[in-house]
Amino acid sequence: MIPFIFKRIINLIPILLGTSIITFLLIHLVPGDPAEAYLRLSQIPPTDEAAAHIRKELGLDKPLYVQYFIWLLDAFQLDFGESFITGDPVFEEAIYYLWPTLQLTLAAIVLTLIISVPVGILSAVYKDRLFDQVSRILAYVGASMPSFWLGFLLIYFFSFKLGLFPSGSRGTFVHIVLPAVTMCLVYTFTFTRLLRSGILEFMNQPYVMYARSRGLKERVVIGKHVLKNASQPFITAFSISIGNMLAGTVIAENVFAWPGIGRYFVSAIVNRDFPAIQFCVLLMTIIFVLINLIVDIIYAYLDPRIRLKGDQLK
Amino acid sequence: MSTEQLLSIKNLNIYLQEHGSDTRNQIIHNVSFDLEKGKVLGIVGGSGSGKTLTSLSVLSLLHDKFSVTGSIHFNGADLLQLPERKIRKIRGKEIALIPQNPMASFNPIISIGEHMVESMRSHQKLTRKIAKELAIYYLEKMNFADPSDLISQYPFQLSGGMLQRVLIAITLSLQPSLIIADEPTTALDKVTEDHILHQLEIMKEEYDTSMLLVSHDFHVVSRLADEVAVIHNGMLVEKGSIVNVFRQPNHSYTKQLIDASIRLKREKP
Repeated sequence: MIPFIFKRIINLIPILLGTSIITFLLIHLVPGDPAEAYLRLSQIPPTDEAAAHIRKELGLDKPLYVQYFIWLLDAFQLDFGESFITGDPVFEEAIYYLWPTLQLTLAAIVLTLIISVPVGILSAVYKDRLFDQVSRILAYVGASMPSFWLGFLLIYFFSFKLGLFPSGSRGTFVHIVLPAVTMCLVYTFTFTRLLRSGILEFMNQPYVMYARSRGLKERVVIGKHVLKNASQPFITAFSISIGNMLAGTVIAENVFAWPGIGRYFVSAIVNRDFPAIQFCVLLMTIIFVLINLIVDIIYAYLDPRIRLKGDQLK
Repeated sequence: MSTEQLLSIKNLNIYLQEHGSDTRNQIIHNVSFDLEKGKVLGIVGGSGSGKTLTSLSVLSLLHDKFSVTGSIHFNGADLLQLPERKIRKIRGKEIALIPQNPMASFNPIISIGEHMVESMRSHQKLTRKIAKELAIYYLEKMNFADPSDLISQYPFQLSGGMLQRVLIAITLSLQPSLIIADEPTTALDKVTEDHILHQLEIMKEEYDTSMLLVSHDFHVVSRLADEVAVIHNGMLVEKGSIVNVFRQPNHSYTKQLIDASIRLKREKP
């Protein structure tokens, strides 16, 4: 297991380097001159003279590969430049906004798992019975509800009408409830159905029948022989969705005035705040890559065929 | 029913109704047979004849789409009337199945040892450590060279013949009074087949286990069985002692099956 994890971590290095090149190049692929954007945001008239000066100051007049290496060296020291708008280091700013987003995403993930796993299992066990039918209908409704609309509905009922939860901003535990519910609902219902169909597929495997024939308790048959196998496609879909959730927080953040990185990112894009955009893209990529690593490790833990691949195969 | 009968199946009918369909097809027609304690009954038939369905119905392991009527008495109790909770206690402990296709019968992500340990522990109060030692003991009985290494291996690391022997080791460890062996030697080479049949013979002699031996191969059945029942198209066409059926088959299908196994033997170089 340890060599497997080590190998995966080594594999990350080229991926991260490649990502850094792409994010660096982004600045040059996006229409608009960074120097002009800088001047505009600093309220300085963008004359040719001023632009040339800024280009020199930001190092934009150097060859591209030199710029990249300077940027990379700075990046290793966690210096990703200063925001064009505030003039503060983007690293500190982004990390400041990242934490609330992670908090929100984590709450949504936990909520999704708490609901979808047991409901998925029960829908499979009680296939085509009332429980399964109800969960199917809810899945259709839930999956087809846009989250911004759902967010406003939740605010209207639970905040405005019932006064149970605050309608926005960040603070105590109750503040996170509505945005987390908004984010998780779509995934909850989809995952319930996904897990259900996975379980049903593995339920008919010969080894499940053999497990039953040995007199194992149904709890063991489902939990050990079915669920452990059926969880793999579920984990795949889930890991992809964690990325989507992180990216999708922007909607919940806007609806609920949650001070997260989604809003920071969007405002950076609108203002052409290039260093901030660059760093946000890089940060998101690193998070995606890390989630993938964790998922790979979970796979290997669950499935010996992945863990032992290469040696002892007959 | 005499008191010596361990298993007694009467008028067994099995119907298949696909989900959402109105038509119900009868697959097993009025099958009845008895098995005495300590004896081996061979159930012979071609593929699709319903022999596996019949044997699985004994353990109530059929898919929902099958419905069963008739009676299956085991040690005096009608298995078809027992609630799931009681059937579970009989499965493995009293009646153990050796399923067909060993490659598909093991959970690919669970180790050989865990398969054995969980089986024993579901019927006896054992610590994991003792169950593990017992697993090694029973694997040794199946002539495995290095059982303590084997228990940490996974099914995909073993060959079909080895897995078949592990299936028998699991069955041994459960010490059932009746074994249902479903095509235990199909898909194995002749040497392994011989070895497996030998192990089943030992099990029969040493533990006085009764057995339902399901096979399409008269040769396999003739080695172990005391009696034989021939199933064709879901109907029991012939039953009797192995010697009588082999010498004087009444039904043309039985003759065909016997001819086929003899012809196959002759054709071998």
